[in-house]
Amino acid sequence: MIECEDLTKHFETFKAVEGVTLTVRPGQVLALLGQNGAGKTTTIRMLTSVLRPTRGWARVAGYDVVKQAGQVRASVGVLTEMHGLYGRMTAEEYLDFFGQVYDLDPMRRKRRTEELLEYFGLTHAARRRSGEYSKGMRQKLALARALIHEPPVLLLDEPTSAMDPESAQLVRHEIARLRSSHRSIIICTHNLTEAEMLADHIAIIYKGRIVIQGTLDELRRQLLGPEEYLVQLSGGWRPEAIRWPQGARLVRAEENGFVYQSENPATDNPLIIRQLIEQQAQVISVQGVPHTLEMIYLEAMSQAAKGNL
Amino acid sequence: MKRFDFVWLITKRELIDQMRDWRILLPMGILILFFPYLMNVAARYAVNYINQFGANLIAERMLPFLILVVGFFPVTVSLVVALEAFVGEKERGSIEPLLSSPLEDWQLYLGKLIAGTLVPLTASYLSIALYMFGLWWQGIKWPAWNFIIQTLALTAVQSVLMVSVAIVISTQSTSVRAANLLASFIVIPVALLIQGESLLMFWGTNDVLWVAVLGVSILSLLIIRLGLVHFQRESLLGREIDMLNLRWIWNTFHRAFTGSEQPPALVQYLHRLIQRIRSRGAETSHATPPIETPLTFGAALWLDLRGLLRWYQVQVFGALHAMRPAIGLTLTIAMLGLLVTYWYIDANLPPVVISSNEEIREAARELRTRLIDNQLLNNLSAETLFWHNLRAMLLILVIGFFSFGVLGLLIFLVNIAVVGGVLAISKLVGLSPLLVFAAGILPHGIFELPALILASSAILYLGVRLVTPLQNKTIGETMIETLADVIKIFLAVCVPLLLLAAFIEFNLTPAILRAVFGNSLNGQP
Repeated sequence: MIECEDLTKHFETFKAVEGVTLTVRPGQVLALLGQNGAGKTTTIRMLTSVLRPTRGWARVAGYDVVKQAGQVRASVGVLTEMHGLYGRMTAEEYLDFFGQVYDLDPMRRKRRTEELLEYFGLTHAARRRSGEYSKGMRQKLALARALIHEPPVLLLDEPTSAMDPESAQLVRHEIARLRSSHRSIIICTHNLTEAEMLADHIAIIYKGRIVIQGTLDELRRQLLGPEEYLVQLSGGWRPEAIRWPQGARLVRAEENGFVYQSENPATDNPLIIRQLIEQQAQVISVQGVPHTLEMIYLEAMSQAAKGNL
Repeated sequence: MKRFDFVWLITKRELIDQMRDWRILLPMGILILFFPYLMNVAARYAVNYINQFGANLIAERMLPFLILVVGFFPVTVSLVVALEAFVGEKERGSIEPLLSSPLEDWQLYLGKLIAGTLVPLTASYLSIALYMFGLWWQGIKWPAWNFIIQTLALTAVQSVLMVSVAIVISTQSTSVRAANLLASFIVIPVALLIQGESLLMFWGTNDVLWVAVLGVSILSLLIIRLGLVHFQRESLLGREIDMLNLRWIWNTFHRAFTGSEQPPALVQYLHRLIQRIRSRGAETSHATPPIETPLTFGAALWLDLRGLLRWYQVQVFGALHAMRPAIGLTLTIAMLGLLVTYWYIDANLPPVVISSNEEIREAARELRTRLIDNQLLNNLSAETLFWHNLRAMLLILVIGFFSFGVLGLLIFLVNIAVVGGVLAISKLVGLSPLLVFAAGILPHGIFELPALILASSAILYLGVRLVTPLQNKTIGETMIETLADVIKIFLAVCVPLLLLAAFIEFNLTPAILRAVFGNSLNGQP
């Protein structure tokens, strides 16, 4: 469980993070999105007790980040922005070293090292120095380090950056598996497709402030309005003849169709299609206009820049 | 795992890293092999040359010095490891996983410190071993064992000193480049220290070398403590660029020194006056709106006088109040120093310097003549006395600043020892030490001694503050704020006291001395 309220960090006069309030329950993934320098890393560093908050409080895995910093750090697995491996150590030595740092007994260290190396497909390179690894391999090893002590809380900064598609999928599977084993996970990423696939909750941070947060549907509704549908027609139609149900409206008319918005698509869509058929319009297709996380994010950024969020 | 096992874990990892880095191993290997050889050649030629003139003693005493030199070079080269201990990891991004781990600050710090010390020290000792082997091979007689042990101990404590400073630099720097640039601030002072030690070696004062070992050990411990106290995970990750923020330094100092953000009223008055003059000039061409009426000069002066009084009450007495323990310690040291010097000279000087009663009588006559004719102070003006004392005080402050107050305190002790010595010699020539103190020292000493004590206490206070944990304060802030306190005491208390003391020492002390001793010294002691 991760909870924080009014979490704030100022560096002298610079306000890096301002009043962040978040909750990530066990079994939940929160995607923290924002531009570079928005305050994501500073927030993560406060949650790992590396930076001391200027104001506010946070509890991670039940421990206070200020008063119980040692316990917090022992309960968190962190994947940092830079993978930060020791290039002259082999993967095996590296994982064993961090196993010792997290005070795992030798048997468990050995087991976890073997498991993780095998899972991430690094067994063949276990005795090679990580300095010789490719970017993707290094990223996998860094992720293995974050998981070595099976922490209840994971804070992952760009977990799949620099990875090939297969490796990225592997990591996404692992994150999904960890979520199902009741871990609380925060992912900072610029890969919005990945965030959309993994996150239960999304928080968008802008200039140190969380400007909006919620589930994908909540953000979609709040920022982009009700769902939109694209109707493709063959031949003409008479827009004025359509009686729009309450909560539905025409967004734009095009030559071969139109886009409309509906708050209750289950009841509205059949009504609208029936009217088109009555007009003898040739309906080719009716499909939902995808409201991707990218659209949501860009809208949030635009609103935040205007000061509307 | 036990708490110290984590220290060893960090050390072990660092050592593995160093042992796999050819950029460290190669130069160190060359130094270990090449330098002892070079020194062996130097030793052989020097010994042969000096022996031609029968100056065997010089050759004997040069050999341990060469051991020190042989041990010093590998440390300077491998210092780069310690210099990048933290900042290097920060640059490579590998520090953050460590900082996010449950390791405690002191475990990380000590782990890196030990690793940073072990390699240079091993290299040093290997170098020394090869050098000694070379001496044996050439048939040159080894120095005495006590010299060798002393040299090995000096090499060890100097290595620890250099590495501990390097680690502090590494925690406070923002880049490896910046840390490396600061390396000369470690190497040059230690090189000077070795030169000082070499003088002692040539002089043959072995016992003093043990004091050097003790002194360097204490300094190293203080620096380790300083590093531990100011090691903050936050500042390690918080600072990203090298920026000397002079405005921030000045503002911090100004706030700590004056206790106010406002400039003095006279400065405000002058500022307004200048503004007014400028605006008058501008009125003719631009019709600038009139500015508010400035304060009068008298009002500004009055405000500043009141401000000065308040500054004394709050800032100067506040600083004095804060440094009470340091004042207590300095006073205790002063009393002990005075008594020990008095006792030591009283017990040891007569048999050494003055062998007969006739000599004592002669010395007494000489002193009497000088006192009566005021020759002791005739050549010195009040101004000279003031500058002399000021120089001594500045020396205490400057040397103390670079040694946590310890060396400053030693210089202070030398001054006190002079007083103790004068009193002991007074007794030797048949004068009452108490009377000499009351008539010759106290009249001006009542101002001069407190000034010296306060200056020494202030610089000791600076050292203590630097090695004391202060939450939410960086090493820079602590240093600037405490330095402001030291300067407050120096300017507001010590300098006026020294001025008074110099005036009295020139105008009153000789007269009092003549009045008290002039007649009594006409007779036999």
